[in-house]
Amino acid sequence: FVGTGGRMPAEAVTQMNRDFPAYFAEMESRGVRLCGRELDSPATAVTVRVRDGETLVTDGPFAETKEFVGGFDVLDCADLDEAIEVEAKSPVARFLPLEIRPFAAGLRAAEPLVSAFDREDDSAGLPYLLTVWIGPTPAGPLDSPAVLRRSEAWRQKLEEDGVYVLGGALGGPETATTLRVANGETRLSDGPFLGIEEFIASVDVVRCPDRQRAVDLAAAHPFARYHAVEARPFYSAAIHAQRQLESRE
Amino acid sequence: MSTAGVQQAVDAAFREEWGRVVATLIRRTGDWDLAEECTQDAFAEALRRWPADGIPRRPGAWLTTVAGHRAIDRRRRSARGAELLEQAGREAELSETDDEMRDVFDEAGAIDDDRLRLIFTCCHPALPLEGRVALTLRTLAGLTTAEIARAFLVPEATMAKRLTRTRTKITAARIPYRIPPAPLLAERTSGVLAVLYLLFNEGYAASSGTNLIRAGLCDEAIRLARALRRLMPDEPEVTGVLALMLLHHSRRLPRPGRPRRRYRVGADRRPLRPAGTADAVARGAAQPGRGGRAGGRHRRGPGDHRRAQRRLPARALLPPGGGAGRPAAAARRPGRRRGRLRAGAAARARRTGTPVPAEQA
Repeated sequence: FVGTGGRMPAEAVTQMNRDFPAYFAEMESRGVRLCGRELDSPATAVTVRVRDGETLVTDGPFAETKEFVGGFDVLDCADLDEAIEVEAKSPVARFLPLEIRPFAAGLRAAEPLVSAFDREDDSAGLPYLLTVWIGPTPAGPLDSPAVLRRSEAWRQKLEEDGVYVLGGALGGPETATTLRVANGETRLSDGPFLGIEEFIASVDVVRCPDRQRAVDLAAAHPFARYHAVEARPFYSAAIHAQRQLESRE
Repeated sequence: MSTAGVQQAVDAAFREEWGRVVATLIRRTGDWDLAEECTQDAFAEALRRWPADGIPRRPGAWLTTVAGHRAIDRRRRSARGAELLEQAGREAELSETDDEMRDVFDEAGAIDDDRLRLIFTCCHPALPLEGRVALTLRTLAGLTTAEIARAFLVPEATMAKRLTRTRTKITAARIPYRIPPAPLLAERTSGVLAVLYLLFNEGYAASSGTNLIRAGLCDEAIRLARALRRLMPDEPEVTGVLALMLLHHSRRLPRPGRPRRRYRVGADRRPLRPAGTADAVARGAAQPGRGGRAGGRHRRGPGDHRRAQRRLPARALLPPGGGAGRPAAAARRPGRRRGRLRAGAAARARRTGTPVPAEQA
């Protein structure tokens, strides 16, 4: 996860954009980076809960924090040291904190969609990130095998429908490591980069033709019954350009 | 052999070998909990068998073998099945061929390497600092959870949870069980030394109080630093930190009527301190090449270690020896550059080291 405060000085952005191609090329040739993308701003998110059979939809992200998840990358590394090395080399690391978290039970990924997602080819629909947020006092069973099976079933169905890109359950916050690079030195700290009690328990990327569909999918997630599912679109240059045009009219 | 003698031998082996046996078992099984349990079983077994069979010539190898067998037994009985059984079969094959010999071979190289692996993994920078300290004490020094809890003034349940969390993170986040590769080694070594020095500081702060366990942390830190130094003799930073610990440790006992503020180390490195602490001070001062300067500064508290550490070129090598700060059974003659130090109190009996020059050219 890339943590961000939302605003970045222009020189930083130019520098990052300049360094990205070489970085991506190296990491992809090593086979350690699967894909990754920037997320749209939290204002575009929507949070979904299902309680007593009723779907409750709130505009906005799950947590109103100064810092939020700005993007995420999926890595495939031999061990934590390799993940640290790969992330420390990222042009982003110099400016923003990066949180490294393992997938708890492996990653489910559907190939042609993954490359399209990475390439920012959104012809098949805008990708949304569905994150399950769990609070400090979980309202329901976290690891119950029944719920986990239902989650897999939910993913399976979406894959069959051709809208599932990738995702899976994540290790808990105690398995997270946050990385910052300052003055060429890599500084590690235990735990997620967000200093709040709630944490992200799983991530799923799905392609949706519109926001409503994203909300529907989030509501169908087995965890929506016990916790909250936030749906946020990934950043799309095309959509942003369109928005700017619309706002000018 | 008397039961007291056996108990003493087991205690000695415990201090010496606990970390090594656990480290090897972790490498073989990849399971930290299993490794600790089996090591505990092996030590219990030693208490049962050694009075009758005598103390083995190489207690470490004996303990590792027994612990290894225990691990295989447990795996066989556990529900995890086929792949593990197969692995156990391979291990059983290996261990059936003359266990003693193999572990003798291992002892020279691999077992010590295992201990290094364990130290570096426990002190991995991605782990929370308190977790690193606690896990180091548990797996390397063999302190019980209760003892560690008392040393850090937290309830035992809290410490138990801390240890579990740390172990879980190692497995879940896939922290590799290894000695860091060359590009990472320098920074990771600093990390380990930071943990050891933190341990030392905790013990130092408590040394005048009644919490003996806490005060004993100094000894543990020094022991571990020594072990690290034996395993990494070419690493000047390790020597430097050990020197600092010994210097501070030597002044922890108050000496009534004697001003502690200053001392000078003469040109011939003859310490001007009374005998009991002379060893520790001499050893501490002999380590950095510029003995006088570093020694003269020692009167500051451990908090200044960072500054002092930077100044230490640590060109000198430390002769191996026994407990720091205790009135040594054999005091080194001042001015003599080489020598053997015999261990202090009984249970710490170790192999005598080969004499090494006190200063590199």
